[in-house]
Amino acid sequence: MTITPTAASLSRRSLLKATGAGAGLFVVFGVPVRARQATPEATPDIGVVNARGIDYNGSIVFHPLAGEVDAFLRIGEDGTVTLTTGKMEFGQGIRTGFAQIVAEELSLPFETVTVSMGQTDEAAPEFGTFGSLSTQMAGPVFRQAAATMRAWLLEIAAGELGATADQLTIEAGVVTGPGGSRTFAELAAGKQAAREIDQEIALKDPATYSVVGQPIPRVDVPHKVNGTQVYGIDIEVEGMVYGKVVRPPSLDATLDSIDFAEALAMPGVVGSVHEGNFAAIAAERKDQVEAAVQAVKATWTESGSTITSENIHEYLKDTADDGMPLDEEGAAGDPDAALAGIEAATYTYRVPYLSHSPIEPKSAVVDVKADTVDVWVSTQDPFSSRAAVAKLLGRDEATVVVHGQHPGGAFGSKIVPQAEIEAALISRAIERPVKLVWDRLEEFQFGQFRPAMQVEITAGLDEGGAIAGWRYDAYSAAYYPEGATVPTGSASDWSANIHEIYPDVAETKTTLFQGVSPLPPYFWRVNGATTNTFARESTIDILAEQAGVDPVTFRDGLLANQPRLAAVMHAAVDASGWTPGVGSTGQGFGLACGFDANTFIAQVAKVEVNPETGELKILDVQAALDPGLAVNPEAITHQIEGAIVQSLSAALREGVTFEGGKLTNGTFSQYAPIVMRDAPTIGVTILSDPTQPMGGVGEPGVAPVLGAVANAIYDAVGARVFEVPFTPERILAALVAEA
Amino acid sequence: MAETVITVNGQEHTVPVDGDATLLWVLRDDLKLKGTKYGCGMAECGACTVLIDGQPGRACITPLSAVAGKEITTIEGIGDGESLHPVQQAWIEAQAPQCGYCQSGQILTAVALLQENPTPSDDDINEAMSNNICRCGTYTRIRAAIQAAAGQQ
Repeated sequence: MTITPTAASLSRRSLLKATGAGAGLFVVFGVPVRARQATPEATPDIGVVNARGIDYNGSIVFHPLAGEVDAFLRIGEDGTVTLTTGKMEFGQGIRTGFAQIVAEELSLPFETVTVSMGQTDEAAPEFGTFGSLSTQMAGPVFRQAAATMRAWLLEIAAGELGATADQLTIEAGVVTGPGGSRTFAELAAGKQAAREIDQEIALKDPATYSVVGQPIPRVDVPHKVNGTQVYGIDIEVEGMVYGKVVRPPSLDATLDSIDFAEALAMPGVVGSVHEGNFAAIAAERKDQVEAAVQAVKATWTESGSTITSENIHEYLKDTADDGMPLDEEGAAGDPDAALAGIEAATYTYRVPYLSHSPIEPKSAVVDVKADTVDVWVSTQDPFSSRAAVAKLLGRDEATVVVHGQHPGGAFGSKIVPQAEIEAALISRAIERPVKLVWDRLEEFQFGQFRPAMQVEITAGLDEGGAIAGWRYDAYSAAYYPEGATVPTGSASDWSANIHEIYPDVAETKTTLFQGVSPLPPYFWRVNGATTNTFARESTIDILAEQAGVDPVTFRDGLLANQPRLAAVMHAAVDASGWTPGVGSTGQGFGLACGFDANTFIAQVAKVEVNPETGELKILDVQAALDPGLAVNPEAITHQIEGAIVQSLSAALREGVTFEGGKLTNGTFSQYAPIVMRDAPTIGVTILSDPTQPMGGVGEPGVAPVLGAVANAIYDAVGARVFEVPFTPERILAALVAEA
Repeated sequence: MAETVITVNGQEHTVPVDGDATLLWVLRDDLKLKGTKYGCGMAECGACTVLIDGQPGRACITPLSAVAGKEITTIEGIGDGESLHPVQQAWIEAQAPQCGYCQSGQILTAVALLQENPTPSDDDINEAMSNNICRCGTYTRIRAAIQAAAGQQ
């Protein structure tokens, strides 16, 4: 992953209007943070209204956590502390983890800290929840924020108690000194204070931690077992009607004619809207709108696209641009020269498009009024949602409030403002609050897709058995359509450069080529890292066998200057019960290493392959990771388990098939995600160094799975599979090729 | 105006729709029981699973006419007042959910399994639960929760 520092300016923001009532203490902060992309802020550009409904041509607004924006804490009258953030919880555990971080620095019981999330009228603008960046980037800011608040409380207490700061102790919301004690609430009562976060402030010694590092049960879990957790799809508002978009038969179709007459006469129907290629209808009840949309008579001209899931990889290569070199400055080698004259080969890896398919489909409730707009939506990125709706409607962002709701699964898809844009168009037209719920067919066909990708690695060994050269060419699609304002984000980025993992490999050259995507491409989990790790780790195993050493020994030779990765590799191997050997040993173990979000990770998969049928069964996956300071080891373990299972789904079965702009497997039964009977046992070992920065843990677990499984298949039966998913047909074909 | 009577969580309700209306949206929109989720509308994911006379059923494809005179139980109705059902308690102890959206359906499927088979093997659990999709990948936790709940019975 590439993180580029941004020159975010320090400025303080008036915050008091956003904090609500109560005699509280307000702490204002402004610190620069590092945004993930080179473009820290971009104005979203709503593209043309097209056959996909609305094409949101732009996307993420990179509000840094600071710069001209701030995060803040508040002490309530009852002494509890509230952290307000634009980030969203959707099961990854940050509501709990953030509270642990704040409670720790303030020496408060965990239960007294609550976290308010995703309300754009309460939180300072903040970029969304994705890329395992929450704990990694916001965590340190919240820790400094709490430490700044602690220092401020001590100053007040010192004055009131006639003591010096070093005479004071702070525990469980009470500051005690020689002259008596004061609660946080007493100290804060009636006071307002604005301070920038002190980035140099002394933080607690991690050795003294009693809240951070503890496996505290996630606060969101009880609501999710008794049915009370509210998701975007659960929102109702007074006077609301249901909307439904009239969908084209395929992507990129154009609307020729539309006739609402029959539909408008049906029970409960309240109105319709037609703008360009966008058409929709609304009715009082959900069953009524579903019946009505069936009665709308629309004619479309389809694109007649000849691109299919069968020829997509050739197409991406045929339409590729000139390529973007990814090597760090001055580090690009000359692998072609280095490999000339020695035995080198090119290995080609392919992955298909993937569907995010969260179980909760896209949905939104939008109320467009004359002066204000309210949006309730399951989103990963409330501020991008606000920007998109404001731009669409031509409103000032300050008049649009996004009430971010807990997504029922997201995986990248709920960064894209889509249902709320559609609902806003309908609400504006019919002047009622509108609820829009995509059905499953819409979710598969009209959302976004992790792009297909092809990686070609040319590599070989020198006489000493070391990698002599490594040429890496990745062909994929841009995440953003032509004309988008965010000019970054090749699908193939992240972990593409081998030096992110194995820094000492000589003579490397990495190039990302972007082709034209026939399906709308977008971020899925850890982006290209899944594919890059599959390709890299498969090739490393191939080279290890050529060198006549086992996969662990070969990697040890590459990790002399990457000790944290070497440590997790050995921990995963030790946990797995594998005795590494040269080439295919018949044991069915495979290893892959990765690094993302400042977290080092290795995984060892154990598989069983039926050589007669090619059937693959995943028996066990052992992961070991070093995330630096581990805020909540229980939540980390859960994240890694989930990442492994979802990635195994991609390894075993997932892949969007399409022709003529239409999905041919756009239902759950056809797309066939992994189910319980496919899920292996999973072990997670955390090697935490509390003195290291907090790494992200949502995505690092995703990337190594494909490579570990591919290497395990080879270890089991001596067949190398180069294309995902690893279907019985592909494994059988690989067995035939080896024979 | 059409009216239909259904029995949910031990209470009779009269709803303003005919027997063709889909149980899922009547539960959610008319009875405000939103713990039952929409996932696919095609009985392919299990998010909408409820108990119909104790058996797991897919509310998203069930017309009200099919549940006339039958007892429907939703996630809101499996506990005893304020206290959780043992399966729900096991879910908390296993910290099973991530996003949680599929979990009502998972829990009700597990409740039905354990009523039918109080000591299921892993294979029994896999078979009973493999029609419920979880995209966050919580299967190993769910399996552990069911085993724990079975051990307590």
